[in-house]
Amino acid sequence: MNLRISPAPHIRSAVSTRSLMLDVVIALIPTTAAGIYFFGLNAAVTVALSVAAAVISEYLYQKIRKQEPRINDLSAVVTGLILGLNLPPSAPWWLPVVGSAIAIVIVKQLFGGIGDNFLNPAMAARGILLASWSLRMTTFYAPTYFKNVDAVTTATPLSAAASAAEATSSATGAAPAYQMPSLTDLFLGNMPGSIGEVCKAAILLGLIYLVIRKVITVIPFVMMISFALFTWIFGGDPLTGLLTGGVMFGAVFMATDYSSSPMTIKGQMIYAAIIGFIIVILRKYGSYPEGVTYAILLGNIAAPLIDKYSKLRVYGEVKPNA
Amino acid sequence: MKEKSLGGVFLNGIVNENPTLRLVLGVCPTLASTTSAVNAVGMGAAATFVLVGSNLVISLLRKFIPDGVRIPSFIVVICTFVTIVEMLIKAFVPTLYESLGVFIPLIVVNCIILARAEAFASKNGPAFSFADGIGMGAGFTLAITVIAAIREIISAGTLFGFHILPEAFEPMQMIGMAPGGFITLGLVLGVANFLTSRAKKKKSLKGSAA
Amino acid sequence: MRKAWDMIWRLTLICIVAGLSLGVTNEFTKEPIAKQNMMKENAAFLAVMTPDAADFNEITELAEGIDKAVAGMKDGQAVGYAAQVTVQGYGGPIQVVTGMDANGVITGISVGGPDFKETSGLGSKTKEPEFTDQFKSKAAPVKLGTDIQGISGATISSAAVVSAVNKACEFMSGLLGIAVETPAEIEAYKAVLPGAVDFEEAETAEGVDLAFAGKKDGAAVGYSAQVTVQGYGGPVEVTVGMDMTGSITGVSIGGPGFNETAGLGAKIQEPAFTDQFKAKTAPVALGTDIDAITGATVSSTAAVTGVNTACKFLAGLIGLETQPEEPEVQVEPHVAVMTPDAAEIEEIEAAEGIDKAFAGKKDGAVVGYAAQVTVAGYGGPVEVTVGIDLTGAITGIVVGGDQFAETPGLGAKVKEPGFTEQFKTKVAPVSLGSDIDAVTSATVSSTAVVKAVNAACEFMAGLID
Repeated sequence: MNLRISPAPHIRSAVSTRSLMLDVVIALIPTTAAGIYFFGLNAAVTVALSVAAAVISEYLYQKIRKQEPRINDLSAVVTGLILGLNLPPSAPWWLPVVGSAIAIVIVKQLFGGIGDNFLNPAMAARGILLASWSLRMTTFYAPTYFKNVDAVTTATPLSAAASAAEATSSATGAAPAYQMPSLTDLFLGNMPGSIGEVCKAAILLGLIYLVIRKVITVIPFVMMISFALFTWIFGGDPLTGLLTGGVMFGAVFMATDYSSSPMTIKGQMIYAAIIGFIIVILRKYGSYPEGVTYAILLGNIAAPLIDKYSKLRVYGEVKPNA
Repeated sequence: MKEKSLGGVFLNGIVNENPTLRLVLGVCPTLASTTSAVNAVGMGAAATFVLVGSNLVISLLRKFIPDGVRIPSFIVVICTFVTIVEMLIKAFVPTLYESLGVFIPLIVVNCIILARAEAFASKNGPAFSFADGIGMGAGFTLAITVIAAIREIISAGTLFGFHILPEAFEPMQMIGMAPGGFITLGLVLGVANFLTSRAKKKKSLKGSAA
Repeated sequence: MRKAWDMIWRLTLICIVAGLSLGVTNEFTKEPIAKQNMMKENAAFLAVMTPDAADFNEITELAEGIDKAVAGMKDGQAVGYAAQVTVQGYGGPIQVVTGMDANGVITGISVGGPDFKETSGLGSKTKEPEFTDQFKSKAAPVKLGTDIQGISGATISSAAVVSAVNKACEFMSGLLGIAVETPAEIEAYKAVLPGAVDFEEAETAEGVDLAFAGKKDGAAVGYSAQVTVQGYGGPVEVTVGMDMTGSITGVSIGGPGFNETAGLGAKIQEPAFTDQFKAKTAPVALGTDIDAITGATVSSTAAVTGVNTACKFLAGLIGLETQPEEPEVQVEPHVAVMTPDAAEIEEIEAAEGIDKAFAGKKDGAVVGYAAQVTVAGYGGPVEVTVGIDLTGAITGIVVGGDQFAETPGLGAKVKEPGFTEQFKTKVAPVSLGSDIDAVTSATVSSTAVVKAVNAACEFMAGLID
C-alpha cells in the first residue's frame, strides 16, 4: 500500500496535478480550434507535433534517468500544446519538435521536473527558438480559413505598424501610415500571427472556463489591467494594444504557470503588474515588435525575489520588531 | 603518498583534473573561443604555450622568488609570456589574431595558469612542472575543442570550416551566441560528471570485490 | 628591512629580464606586424578596386561621410577609385568600401569593419559574396528592391549598405566628373514627359534654352522646356515637363556645368527632390509645396525658380492663363481677414506702426476692422494683416509680404493655415505658448507674428472704443 506522510493541515482535495492540467487543456480547446480554422492543416500539424514531441521527450528522459514516467499527469501535454500554439503556422516540422524537446528536457526536467522549473518551459523554449531561428519564428501569413492555399507571408499588425512608423519618421512624411485591422477583426482573429494568439474570443472562452473551475489566479486580470493602464499612460490605445500580439494569450496561459510564478496572491499581483509594464516598455522602446515573451521570462526570474518580500507568516512566527 | 611520475602528472591534467571539466577553471576564454573549432584549437595552443613557459620558468625560479612577493612575480612572468604570444600571433597568424581578438591578452587572467603556478610549479621541479603544463594545456585544449565542435556544428553546420551537414540543415544561431555557450558548457559538464561518477562507482565496486 | 630589500631586488631582477625578453621579441615581430596592418587596411580597398590599377594614390580631399579614398593609378592615369564609408547598421557601425571604375560603374564592394555587429545569420549576410556580388557592374545610384535584392529579414542592414555604396559612389562620381545620373540615359526633355512618344522642337522664348512638344498618336500630350539658372557652385539646367492641364509631369536637373556640392546641393538632382514637383501646378513655393534639401537652400531655391520660370513659359505654350505670382493671395489680405458680415470695405486712417487700416461696413454701420503691421522676422520683414469684429475677437490673419524671407519648412510655416487658423476667435493680446502654439524650431518667426497681431489688435481695439 502506498502510504503518504504529510504535515498538518490535512485537507483532502479533488485537485491533483492531472485534473489541473486537464482543465488547462480543455480551456485551450477553443483557441486550438480557432487556430486550425484560421490557418489550416499547417497549424494542426504543428500543434500535434509539438504535443507528441513533448510527451515523448518526457517519457524518454524519465526512462533514461530511471525515474517513474509521469506523463499521465498531462503536464507535458500542456507544455507541448502551449508551445505549439505560440509558433507561426508556417513552422517547419522540426521547429515544434526541437522546441518541445528543449522545453521538457532542458528547461523542465534538468532543473528538477514538475514543480521545480524556474521558468515557464514553453515560454523559455519559445525564447530559445526565437534567438536560434529568428527568421522562421517571425514569418507569418494571413488566415487562409482552412483552405491550406499557398499562403503569402505577411507581417503581423504589430510589426507592420512598427516598420511603418519607422518608415514615416525617416522619409519626409511620404509613406502612408499603417492601417490596423478593425477591432472586430482583431478580436475574432482575422489577422496574421501565431496559431494561438490571434483569436481573442477563444482565449476569453478559455479564461471563463478556468474561472468556473477555480483554477485561475489573479494573474491574467492584473496583467491585462496593468498592460492597459501603462499603454494608456505611454500614449497608446489600450484596447488595440490588448488585441494585438500575444498579450491575452500570454496573460491567460503563460504567465500563470504555477512553478514559475509567485506563491502568494500579493506576490502574484506584483508579478503580473510588472509583466504588464515591461511589455509596454518593450513594445514602445525595444527593437522587437512583440514584448510578451521576454516580459514573462523576466517576471519568472523575478518571482523568487517577489516571493521573498511577500511571504506569508508561518503560523506562530513572531515578527522581529513586533 | 603515491609516487609522482611524469606520465602520471601529464595524464592528470587531461583526465582527473581536467581544468575545464573537473576544475572548472578558465570558463571565460572557454565561452569566447568555443564558437568555432579552429578558434578553440588556436586558443588552446596559445594558452598551452603560456602555461608551459610560465610553469617552467616559475619552477626554475621557485627558490629564488621570495614568498612575500610570489604572486606579483608569477604575474610578471605570465604577462611576459602572454605578450610574447600575442606579438607572435599578430605577426605570423593574423587571421587567428582577428578571431581571438581581446581574448589573447586575457589569457593573463585565465585562472588555469595562475592556479597551476601557485599549486604546482612553485612546489615542484622543472621536469614535473613542464609535464603538468603540457598536461593541463592539452586537457584544456581537448575540452574546449570538443565543446567548440559541438557549438560549431549546431550553430553553423561546419566543423573546422568544412560543411559537414547537409544544406537542408538550418543552423541554430543561439548556440553560437553567449547563452548557447553557457548551455553547451553546462551540458558537457553534466556528461563529464556523469561519466566520472560512473567510473568512480565501478572503481569502488572493483575495489570492494578485490 | 633585510627581508624587504631581498624582495625588492629579486622582483626587480625578474622584471628586468622580462622586459628584455619582450624587447627582443618586439624587434623580431615589429615588421611583420606593421606589414599586416597595412595589408589589412588596404585589403578591402585592393579587393574592390578595378583590376587594371597598378598603384594606389591616397586622396586627401574627402567629402562629408567619406572615411578614406584611394585612386587606382595606371601609367599616371586614374583608372578607378575606392572609397570607404561608415554607416549605422542594425547593431552597430558598418564599414563599406566601394570600388568604381573610370566609367562610373561599380567594380565591387567590401562590407565589414572592426565594430561590425549585425545579427549573425541575418544582417551579417551582407558581408557574403551572395549579397556583395550584386553590386558589381551596376551604376550608382543603386536601389534596394530593384537593382539589389535585400537580405530577407535584414532590411535595415541591407538598406544601410546600399546607402553607404550610393554615398561612396556619389563622391567618386564627383571625382570622375560624372553627374550623378538617374538611371535613364534618355534626354532630359523626353524623360520629363513620360506619356509622349514623338517629340517636336517648339519655339523657345527669351531665357528658355530648349522647348519641345510631346505627341502621342499625332496629338500633343504635353510640352517640356529647359531653362538655366544660377545655382550655388555653377549653372544648373532645369528641364520641366507639363501636361495639357498645366500639371507638372516631371523635372530633370543637371547640365554639363552642374557643380553643386556633392551630398548637399547635388541632391536636387535626386528623385527624392525632383519627384516632389510631379502633379503640382506652377508656381510652386519652396517650403510649402516643395521641401528644400537641408543645408542646400541656394540650390533648392535655384531649382524651384527654374521650375517656375519654365512653367510660366510652358503654360503660355499650352495656352493656359498663367496664375498670379502669389497664388495664396487671390484675395487682398485685408479682404480675406475681414469679418464675413462686411459688405463693403473702405480704407481708413492708420496710425504709427500700422501700414494700412480698413473698416468693414454693412448697411452703413461698421461691423469690423482690418489692419496690416510689418515686423522683423527671422530672415526679413513680415507683413501681418489682422481682422477683428466688434467684440474684439480675431476673424482671421494673413501672413506674407513681398519681402517675406523666413526659412522654408520652418519659419515659412507661419504663413500656413496650420498656424494662422489658431488666431481665429481669440481676443488679443494672445500669448505664444498658451493661446498660440509656435511653429516648432521657428520661435523667432512665430514670436514676430504674434507681436504683430497684438500690435494690430491694440490699434483696432482703440478704434472700436
